[in-house]
Amino acid sequence: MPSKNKKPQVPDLSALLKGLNEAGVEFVLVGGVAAVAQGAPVTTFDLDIVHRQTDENIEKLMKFLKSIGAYQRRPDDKVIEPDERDLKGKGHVLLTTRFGPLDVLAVIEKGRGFEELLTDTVEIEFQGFKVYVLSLETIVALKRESKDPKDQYRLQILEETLRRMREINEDDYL
Amino acid sequence: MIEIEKVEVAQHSDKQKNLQPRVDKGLIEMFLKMTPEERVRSNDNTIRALVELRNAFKKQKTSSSRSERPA
Repeated sequence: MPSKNKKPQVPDLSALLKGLNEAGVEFVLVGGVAAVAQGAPVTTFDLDIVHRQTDENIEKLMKFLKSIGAYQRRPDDKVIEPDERDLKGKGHVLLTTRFGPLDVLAVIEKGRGFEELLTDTVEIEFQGFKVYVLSLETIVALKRESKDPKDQYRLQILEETLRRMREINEDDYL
Repeated sequence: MIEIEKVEVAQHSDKQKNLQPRVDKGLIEMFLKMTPEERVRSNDNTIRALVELRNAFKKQKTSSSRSERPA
């Protein structure tokens, strides 16, 4: 069994995002960082992505995950590296990496994968790369349906951010 | 007696109101002025600060429990 230094690293989600872009991985940024990137003042400890499930993209993602020492996040001490089958499946692959936690999701709510989510994304310029980010409108709609207390608390902040964003956009238009 | 109860109820509801989470609109305004890159970096900095604080707290807790042990 491979051994890893299990001492938790301080997450550097900017570096993780940069690495994914440099590796040419196609993904939609979802979750907390997607909300942060669009202006919501919340704090999040992991990066959530929905990856495109083509052979070529999975190969790129696998190569990148190896380069950052990714292994499955588990409550026990077993170190299990992800394989292609995990990334081709329909589940969530929760990983620990050198740059912090990375959740690679095949689909999110209502079974929506990369292609289905693309229409609900905004393109954001990040460190010289174009990143598809799940729109704040969609994040708010998903959180409204969630029963998780953490989501309910955050929802107020996300709704207020969205309301203010719309106001600013209207001001710009006038 | 009845009046006292009334006051207590009123204070209780005020307390409840104060406990309701409030949205910091100033923070939202500040965040919206940043670029996406700056926002993600700010999140990273917050995490770093939280981890440092947590480590400092653990360290302090360990050293104070050591000093409390009988010789």
